[in-house]
Amino acid sequence: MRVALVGNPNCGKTTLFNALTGANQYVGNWPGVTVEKKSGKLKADKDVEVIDLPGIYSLSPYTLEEVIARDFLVKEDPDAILNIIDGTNLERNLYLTTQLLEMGIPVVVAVNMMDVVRKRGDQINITALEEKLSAPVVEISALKNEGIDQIVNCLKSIPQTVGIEAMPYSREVEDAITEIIERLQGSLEYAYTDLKELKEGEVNNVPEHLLRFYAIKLLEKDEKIRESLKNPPKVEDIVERIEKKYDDDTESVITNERYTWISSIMPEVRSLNDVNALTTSDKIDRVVTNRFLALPIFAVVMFLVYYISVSTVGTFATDWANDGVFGDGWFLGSGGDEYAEVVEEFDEASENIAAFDEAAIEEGLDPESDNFLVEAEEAGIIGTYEAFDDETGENELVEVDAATYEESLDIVAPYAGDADAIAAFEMKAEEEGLDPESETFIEDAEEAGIMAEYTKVDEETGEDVTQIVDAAAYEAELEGGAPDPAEYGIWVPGIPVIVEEGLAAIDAADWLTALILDGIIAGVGAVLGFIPQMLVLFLLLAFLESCGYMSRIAFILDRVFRRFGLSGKSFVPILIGTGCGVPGVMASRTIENQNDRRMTVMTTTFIPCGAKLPIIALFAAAVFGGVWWVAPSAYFLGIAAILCTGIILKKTRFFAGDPAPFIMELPAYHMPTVGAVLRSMWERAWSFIKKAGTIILLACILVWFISSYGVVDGVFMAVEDQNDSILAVLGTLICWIFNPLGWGDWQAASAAVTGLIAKENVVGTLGILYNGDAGWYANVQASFTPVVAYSFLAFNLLCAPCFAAMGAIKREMNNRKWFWAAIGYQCGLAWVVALWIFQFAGLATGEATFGVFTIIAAVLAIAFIYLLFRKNKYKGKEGISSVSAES
Amino acid sequence: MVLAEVKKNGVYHVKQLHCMGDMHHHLEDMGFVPGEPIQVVSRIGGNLIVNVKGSRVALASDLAKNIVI
Repeated sequence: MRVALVGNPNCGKTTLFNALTGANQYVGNWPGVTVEKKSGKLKADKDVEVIDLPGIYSLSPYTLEEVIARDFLVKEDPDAILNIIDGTNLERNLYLTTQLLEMGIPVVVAVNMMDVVRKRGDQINITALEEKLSAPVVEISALKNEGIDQIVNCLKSIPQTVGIEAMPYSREVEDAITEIIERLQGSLEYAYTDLKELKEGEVNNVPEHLLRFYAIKLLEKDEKIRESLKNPPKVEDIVERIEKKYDDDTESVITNERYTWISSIMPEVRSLNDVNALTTSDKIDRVVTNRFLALPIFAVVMFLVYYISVSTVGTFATDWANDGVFGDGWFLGSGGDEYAEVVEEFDEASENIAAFDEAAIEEGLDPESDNFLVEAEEAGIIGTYEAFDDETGENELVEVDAATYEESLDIVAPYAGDADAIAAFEMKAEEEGLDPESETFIEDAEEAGIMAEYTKVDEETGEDVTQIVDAAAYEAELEGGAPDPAEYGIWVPGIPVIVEEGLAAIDAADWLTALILDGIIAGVGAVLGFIPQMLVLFLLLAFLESCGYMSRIAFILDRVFRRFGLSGKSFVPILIGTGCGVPGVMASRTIENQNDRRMTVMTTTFIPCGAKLPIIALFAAAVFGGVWWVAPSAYFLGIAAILCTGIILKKTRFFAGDPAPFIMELPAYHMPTVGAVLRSMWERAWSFIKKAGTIILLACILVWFISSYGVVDGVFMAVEDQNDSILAVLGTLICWIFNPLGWGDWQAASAAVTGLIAKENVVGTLGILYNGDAGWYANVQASFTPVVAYSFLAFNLLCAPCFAAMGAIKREMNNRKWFWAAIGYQCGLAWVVALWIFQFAGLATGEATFGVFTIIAAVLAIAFIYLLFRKNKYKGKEGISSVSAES
Repeated sequence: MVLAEVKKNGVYHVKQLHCMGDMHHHLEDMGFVPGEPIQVVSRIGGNLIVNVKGSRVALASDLAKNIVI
């Protein structure tokens, strides 16, 4: 049994669909989220298939959604229709119901949002409604999971006989319908073609239960229905008769009769608590869509969303994830500060010693000699080095004299290696004929398998213990220790540390260890490290979405967008695109005008999607030190790119023509339930985690492989120096393209290219390529200056999206030339914007020198300004490809 | 007067629709039928948010100027 789920846009169809089938389809609190039909099996009864159709207002053919839904009902012949209607808005929702009742298919009506209806103090008389519609009616609240069982029961025991004439028209219209049905069935008199060959009943391919529907559509002069008939009958005389009688066109006559009938049953069916009260929604709308405040409120809201998720709460969590969980480790509870202090002291002392030793050696002194300190003091040795001062934020020269040196020695002493162990090992080695002073001593000793024994006093028991020291232990002792975090609190080692130990314990092959640590953990870990920030972003977006504010943005921005040649409807795909570009691009399907739709498809991915968030967050934190404006600026850069594209492209003959007028239903404001917001956040985040485990994992393995292997001296092998790797060779081939943008090294170039697989890969690849002792985060920090970082960021935000989104663009464009035009335009714009950032900002900071590309950047800027401000010669004319979106 | 020209929020009644074809019928489907009371909730430069048939609809000025009140 197949059940079609039909209802107005945004009345809760997908929520009900998810409740019925246990599916996890994306639900949004604005109209037009479902653009394709989706099907699922009923949880309670696997024999029942439920098909979620796009939301529609009517069965007329004016929008693509209506065509999809109507075609399904007419051609696929479902066994039942589950018509979900919004209880807070009965009149408009019943308008569609009156049409569905004419389809000759059993209908179950589910009145949704009953919780809201009750809260308002309104009443709906379900029995009366059932009687009027002659169809079973169920009260539900899809969001709160109320009444779902009742629907299931109703569907199972659905009556097969249907009250097809539930809604009676006026006598004239009823007569007309009857006449048309007769002609449809083959009255020869009115046929266009010669039907003598055919038997009665075989004239048209209309199933009996659909006759009334077809007749009404013919009366409404519906061209699509007419074309679908083999032998459409002549109905012009009937249409003319009705139009003359009512002095209106037939479609309006029928619309009016439907609404009149609905109004006539309303008093019996519903009683309203307070008809004229301004609802809370009205009051909120007065403020947030106020003509002066609307845009500032919007800017502040979006600024806060990105600021909070990237720069405040998110950064804290991401630092923990990157430095702790995917770094060396982290403290559970307290201990972190004390440890940090000790480490700082230790590091400073080590640097002091190194600098002083170096200066002394230059003066011809030997730090190993016994009376070194005295000699050095006499010689007045001063060691110097540069150190970063946290307070001034600049590098300052530090001077080390003999007294400081001595103090530093004391600080380091407790962490020094065990002198006994070193002495024992060296003695043993000398016995074997090795020279501890030689440069290759450790390697030689390891080869010779030197093992030395020495006695050590156990700190706890006070007894002497015999210890064995081998080459590796000797090396460790030589280097000496460092403060051990475990002594300062509960220290949880990071995943790389644990995995490294685990791999060492099972004696894994070197290449496997490298693959897991340098490839998978470095790459995938770098991406997963940003999950906390994504969670915060998704949480805030989910809240804005389900409380109803997001759909107001479309309205607020329509006026702005219209000036730039885009319709406010283009904003729905863009809003969805803040989560993921793929459904965003697909949502552009609801835009009727083909030029508008193409433009929206081209520009939707300019808005930063969730996968681009790690790139923004990485540079905002690592390079910009978490300043407040970086993350929000990425969002406004996306909007600016969309607007400028709108202006420029509208002035070309391909996109000329006014955007289609904007009309959209707005959902009422409501306080979203915690569960719903959390679920929406988790669903989006989970899809990223899944992606990290699949496509990003594979990409990271590939990137690791081609960055670790290469051809050296004609032999294919694992390379010591990444600069010899295959990736370096490939990266070098293309990095000239990015040279004028300030990041022409092969690492950054390959990161940008791997971003085409999935945008998280940009971060993943940086994680692998900048992996090193200091940690990739710090290495990225050292390699990018703010100007270069912003240029890199801008390029990656604006250039062609990931493969999945490009696939969506290709499908929606449905035309090879348009697809390549879109990708080419995106990449071109990204390159030009990044060029401007580096050349102009770089010139100011002295990073870029005046050259050919500065001139090119200036010329491009002038050209861009010209394109923005030139007169639109196509204004008011239709563009060459402006055909309606008929499928 | 047309809906796009209203100077203050309040309730107005639809007299007729001025546009033809698809837009005309789509507006009707959404509840803009003659005699229907329309409550204007918010206005930004001719763009409106209105309550019609119990639902809230945002519409651009180029549509609102086709609705005669």
